[in-house]
Amino acid sequence: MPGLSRNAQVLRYLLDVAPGVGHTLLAKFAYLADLAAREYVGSPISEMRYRYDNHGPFDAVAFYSARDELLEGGFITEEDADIGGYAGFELRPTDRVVTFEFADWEAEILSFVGRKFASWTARELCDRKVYASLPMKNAVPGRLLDMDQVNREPEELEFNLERLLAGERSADEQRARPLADVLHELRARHIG
Amino acid sequence: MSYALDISDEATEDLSVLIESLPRSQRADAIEAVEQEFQRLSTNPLPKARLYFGRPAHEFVFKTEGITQHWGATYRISEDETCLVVTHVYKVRHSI
Repeated sequence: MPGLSRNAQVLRYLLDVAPGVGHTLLAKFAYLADLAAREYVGSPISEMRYRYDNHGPFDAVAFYSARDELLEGGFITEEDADIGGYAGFELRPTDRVVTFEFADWEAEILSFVGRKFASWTARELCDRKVYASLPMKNAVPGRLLDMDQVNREPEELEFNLERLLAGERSADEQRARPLADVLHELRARHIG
Repeated sequence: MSYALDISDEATEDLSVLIESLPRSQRADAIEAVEQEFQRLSTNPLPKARLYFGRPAHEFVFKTEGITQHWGATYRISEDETCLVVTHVYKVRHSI
């Protein structure tokens, strides 16, 4: 059986981290994850093409296609819910196992966004994060957002998420030393 | 209270590359600055920490032969709160 599409994997991964969110939050999580990925790595995680929709950045066709793929495959459930006095939906992952094809940095960004914003309301998230983001600041209603303007690959020696994750793995595996020893070696090598 | 200071192998590599990116005449100042900053961090790790994906980072400025350097390091504190491990060292980039 072929795997899930990239967009469906993104939504399901976010729902694993933040089960029970509705369409609006889930769509905004995907947007914020793509934004962070572009800002820190230079490329997005999903294949969504965001347009300035009624409720902010949204790729309705891609989002609902991915959601339908997940529902039809039994990877998520969708139930009616009261969301702050409005009729909405709650999306939850099922026990069906998904093989995610994400790089470590992609999984890290998705997890971070899901964890950080799971308890926020859609209004809070839109006001404080989504509408404050650069592509939304100069967006035209109905038009595609210029997401490329935030792309930035880290230059050599700059903060690099993949290096950070490698450093954490190294520490987890006890591959770490006293800093004093390292500085001593650097002095010996460079100052002598 | 002061934390013991460790550095991961990958962060050691980051630091070596950063030091080697400087002219030889500036390296001593840089090593000195790194030592001072990390010592300072080990006595007072959390205030004013910048966060990268939820990880605290200490960013600092120093001069080598009159040239301003802006470096940073992500770190984490061990569960028993005795040790601070540096996990990544980098040159701070300027915002877009």
